[in-house]
Amino acid sequence: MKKIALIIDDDKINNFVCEFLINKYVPNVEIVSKTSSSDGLKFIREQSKNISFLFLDLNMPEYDGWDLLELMKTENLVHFPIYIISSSVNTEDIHRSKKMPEIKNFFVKPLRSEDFDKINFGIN
Amino acid sequence: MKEGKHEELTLYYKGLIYSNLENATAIVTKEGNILSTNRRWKVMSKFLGNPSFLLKSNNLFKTFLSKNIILESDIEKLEKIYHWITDNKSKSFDLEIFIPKFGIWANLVLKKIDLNLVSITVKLDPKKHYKSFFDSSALAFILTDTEGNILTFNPTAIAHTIRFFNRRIQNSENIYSYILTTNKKSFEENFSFAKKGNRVQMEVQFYVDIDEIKYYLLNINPVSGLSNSFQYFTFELIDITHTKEIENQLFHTNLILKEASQVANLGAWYYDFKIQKLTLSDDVYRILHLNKIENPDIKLNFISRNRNFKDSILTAINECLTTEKEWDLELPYELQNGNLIWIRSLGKPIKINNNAIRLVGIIMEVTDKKNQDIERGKLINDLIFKNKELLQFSYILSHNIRAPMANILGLISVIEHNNISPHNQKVLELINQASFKMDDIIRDLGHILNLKDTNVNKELLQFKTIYDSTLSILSNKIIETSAIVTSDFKSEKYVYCLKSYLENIFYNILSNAIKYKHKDRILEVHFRTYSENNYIVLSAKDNGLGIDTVFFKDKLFGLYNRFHDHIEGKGMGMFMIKTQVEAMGGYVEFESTPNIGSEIKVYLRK
Repeated sequence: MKKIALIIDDDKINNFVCEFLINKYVPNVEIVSKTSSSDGLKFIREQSKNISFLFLDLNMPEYDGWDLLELMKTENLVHFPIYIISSSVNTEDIHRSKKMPEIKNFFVKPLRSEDFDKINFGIN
Repeated sequence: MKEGKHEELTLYYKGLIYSNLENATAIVTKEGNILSTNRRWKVMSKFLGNPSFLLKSNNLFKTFLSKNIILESDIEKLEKIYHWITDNKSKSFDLEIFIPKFGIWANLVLKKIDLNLVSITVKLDPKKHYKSFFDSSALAFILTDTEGNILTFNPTAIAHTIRFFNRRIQNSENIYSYILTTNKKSFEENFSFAKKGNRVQMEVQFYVDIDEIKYYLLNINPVSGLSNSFQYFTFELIDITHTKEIENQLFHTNLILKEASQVANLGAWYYDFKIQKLTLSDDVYRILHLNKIENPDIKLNFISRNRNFKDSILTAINECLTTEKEWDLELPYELQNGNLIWIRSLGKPIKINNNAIRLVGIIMEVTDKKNQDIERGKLINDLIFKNKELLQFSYILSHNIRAPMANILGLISVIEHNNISPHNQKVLELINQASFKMDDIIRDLGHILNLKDTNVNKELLQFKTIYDSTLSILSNKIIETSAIVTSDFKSEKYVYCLKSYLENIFYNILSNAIKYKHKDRILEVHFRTYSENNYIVLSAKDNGLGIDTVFFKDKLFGLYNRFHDHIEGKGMGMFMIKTQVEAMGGYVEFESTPNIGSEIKVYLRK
C-alpha cells in the first residue's frame, strides 16, 4: 500500500502547486489534500500510521496550524515528519517552529523544487 | 614720751602736712592710730562718706577691714608695709590700692617721720580707674590725635595687631598703617567726618590668613579737648565676623530660596489656627495674578472668579482638618484675561504634640507641564492606535497579501512550458520577474513592521562570521564585478546585537556598494570596527559613485528613494539599515562625495 503525503491548507491554489511538485519529486506516494484543520485531524486520526509526511499551513480559520499540532501531540498522533509551509515571513513563527522537534523544516510559500532536497520522506 | 614734747611735735607735723595742699595726708602712730590729718584728708573722708576710722584718734587698720573700704588683700599689704617702716626695714613705700565702693584707684605713700610716727599720703587717681576698664576690655581701643598718630592703646589692640599684622602696635605709629587698602577710602571719609565731631561707624576687614577674613565694626569717637576742638579720637574695634558670616549665609539662603521659588514659580502660604491668620508669600499673589491684600481670609474670598478652583481647595482644607490628610491637586485657574493656567496646590497640617497648629502649603504654576501631560496623553493614545493599526497591517501583509503572491509565484513555477509560443514564453518570464520583485517588497515590508522588542533576541555576535556569510551570499556579484572587499575587525570583534539585523545590515551595505559602484574603476570596499563612547561603530568605506549628501540630506534614508536613475534597485537598503539600527538604540551616519566614494558608519550600542 502506498504511503500518504498529506497537505493541510485552506489555500487551494497552494495545494495544487504542492500536489504538482510532490508528484514530480516524490515517487510512490498518494497525495491527500485537506482544506481545513478539522478535516485534516479527522484524516490523521484514521490514517496516522500510513502517513509519510505532512505539509502543514499555519494560518487557517477555526483552529490554526499551531492548534492542530497541539491536538495531534495530545492524541499522540505524530508518527511522521511535519513540514510547515506558510506564506508568513514572520520570524516569530520561524523561531517557534524551530523549538518543536516534530517540525523538521519551515518553508516559505511558494514551495520550490529546491525545498525537496531538504525533505526526508522516510520512504524506502 | 612726754606729753608736752608730744604736743610740740604734733604741731610741727601739723604744719608739715597742712603745707601739703595737693594731697590728703595723715600722721599715724606706730599702733595705727590717727594723730593728725590735713584739710585734704578731711575732704577725702567726706567724699568717702565720713567713715569714723579716718577721723582723728581712730585706728586706721582695725577699722579698714570691717568697713569694707579697701580690699582685704590690700589691708594685709598695707599692714605689712606699715610694720616694715615702723620696724625700720624701709623708710618709705608707695602702695596702690583699689577702693571698690567707688571704683577708684588710690596711691598711698607711706613715710617714716620718726620712731613712732608715719605719714600717709593718699593720691586719688580717677584716670587710673578708667584705664582699667579699657585694659580689661575685649574690644580693641586705640587713641590717636587728629593726624591719626597713635597715643595709647589697650592690650586687646596689641593682641589684634599681632594677630593680623604680625607686629606689636607702638605709640607714634599712625592708625593708617593698620587700615587695609580696600578699606582706606571709606576710612578717610569716616575719619574726616569724625573730625567734625561726629561719632562714626564703619565696617573693616582683616586677614588672619590669606583665605580667612575677619570682619570688624570700627567706631571712631571724637574726644573733646580743652578748647572744645577735637584733638583726640578713640578707635574701637568690635569683632562681628560671626554675625557677618551668619548674615552672609542668610543672605545667600534667602537669595537661593527667592530664586528657587521664582524659577519653580512657587508660592508659599500657611494658616495659623490659634490666631486664625492666613499668611501668603508675595509669589502667591503673583502666580494667581491677584493684587496683594491686607488680611487674606481662609475662606479664600480674595480669589476672584474661579469658583471651582476655590471650592476644590476649600474641600481639601476641610478634609485635611478632619482627617489630617495631605493634598496635592492640579487645578485649572482662569486669569482676568480669560486665559487658563494650571495651578498645583499642595498642603498639609503641621502638628505639635499631636495637635494640628498650622496648615502649610505651596502653590505653583504647572501650565506647561500640564499641557505637556495632556499632549503626551493624546500622543500615547494616538501611538497605541497607530501601532495597533500597524500590527494589523503587518498581519494582513504577512498573510492576506503574501499568500496570493505566493500563489502566483507557485503557479508560475509549475507551468509546463511545452506548447507555449515564444511570445507567451516571454510574457510569462516578465510576469515571473514582476512577481519576484513584488514579493521582495512584501517581504521587506514584513521585516520592517516586525521591528519590535529588539532586546529579546539579542546575542553576542562575531563580526567576522556575519561578514563571511555576507560575502558568500553575494559571492556571485562580487566575482562578477571583480570587487575587492577587505575587513579589519581587530579593534572590536564582537557585538551584542540581533543576528538577523546585523546580517541584513552587512548585506545591504555590501549590495548597495556593489550596486552603486563607479563604472570607471574597480570597486573597493573596506569594513572595519572601532569603539566610540558607548557605541561600537561598524564602518564601511567604498570608492563608488558617491552622492551629494547635502542635496539629498532628507531623502538619504527615506523609503524607496534612489539616487541614481541608471541603476536598478529598490532603494530599500538604507531605509532598512536605519530602521533596524535605530530599533536597537543605535544610529547611522553617512558621508559621501560624488565621484569619490561613501562611508557609512553604523553606531551599535555596546
